[in-house]
Amino acid sequence: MSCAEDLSDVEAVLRGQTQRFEGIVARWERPLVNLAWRYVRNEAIAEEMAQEAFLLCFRKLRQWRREAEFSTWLFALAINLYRSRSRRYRPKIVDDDQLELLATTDPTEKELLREERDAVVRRAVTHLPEIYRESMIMYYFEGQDLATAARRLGLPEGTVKARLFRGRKILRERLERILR
Amino acid sequence: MLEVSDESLDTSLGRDPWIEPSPGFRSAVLRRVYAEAELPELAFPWKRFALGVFQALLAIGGIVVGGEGLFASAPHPGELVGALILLGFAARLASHWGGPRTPRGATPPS
Repeated sequence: MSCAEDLSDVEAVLRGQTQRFEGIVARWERPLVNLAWRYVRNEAIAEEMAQEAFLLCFRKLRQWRREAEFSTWLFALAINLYRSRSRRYRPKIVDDDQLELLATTDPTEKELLREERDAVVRRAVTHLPEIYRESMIMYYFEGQDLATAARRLGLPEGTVKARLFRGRKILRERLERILR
Repeated sequence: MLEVSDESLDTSLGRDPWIEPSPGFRSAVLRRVYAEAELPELAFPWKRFALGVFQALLAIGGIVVGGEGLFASAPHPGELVGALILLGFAARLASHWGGPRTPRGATPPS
């Protein structure tokens, strides 16, 4: 069970066994890298952000209060960091080559069209206003589990739901404008 | 060309594949963590702390003595608030200093 392992590793690290931090990294590297990836859509930058998140976690380990799960605390830390770091970087939603591809691809090439469409939509999310962007990122990151997404963000479910609704609306309007 | 219904957005965003961290990611993180752990303890800013406490005591003393005490005129309420904030900051600085440190003899990962 990861909760018990997290607690054991955290307490060992705080006692001076720094090597035990590897257990925390092993369990959470994939989620943290992938969450960062959803903010910036660039693998190298996402890994750099995730590294910083782990370093910040190490520095602030004493501040974890045991009332919340370690993962909740870690994600809150990461989200704050990713929010500020991702402001410096926004991938282009769609480039000219993609527009060309989407316009000229045979509609029977469904797989290719689907992949390009998905890529455009995912990059468009990174350009949403922050409050909507985060709710959308976390909701889909957590497999469309509203309760978990809300808990990670520290927000009521109703608030996240409202932001998802608004975020989708803005996304639709922007995509329709870009691809008109 | 591009369908943008809620359903299609859910589909596009819902099947976002996960990427795998690069092979060197974990060791890069641990190198940075060990480097952080081996930093020498930062010296506590005793001079600043002492100055802060002294200034706070001056302000509080001026209130207590009152009139022509330590101040030529009655201190502004803002000065008292500032003094209390200074004391609080000094105390906070003392309590949150440093993170986990590697004990002597611990070896970093290769």
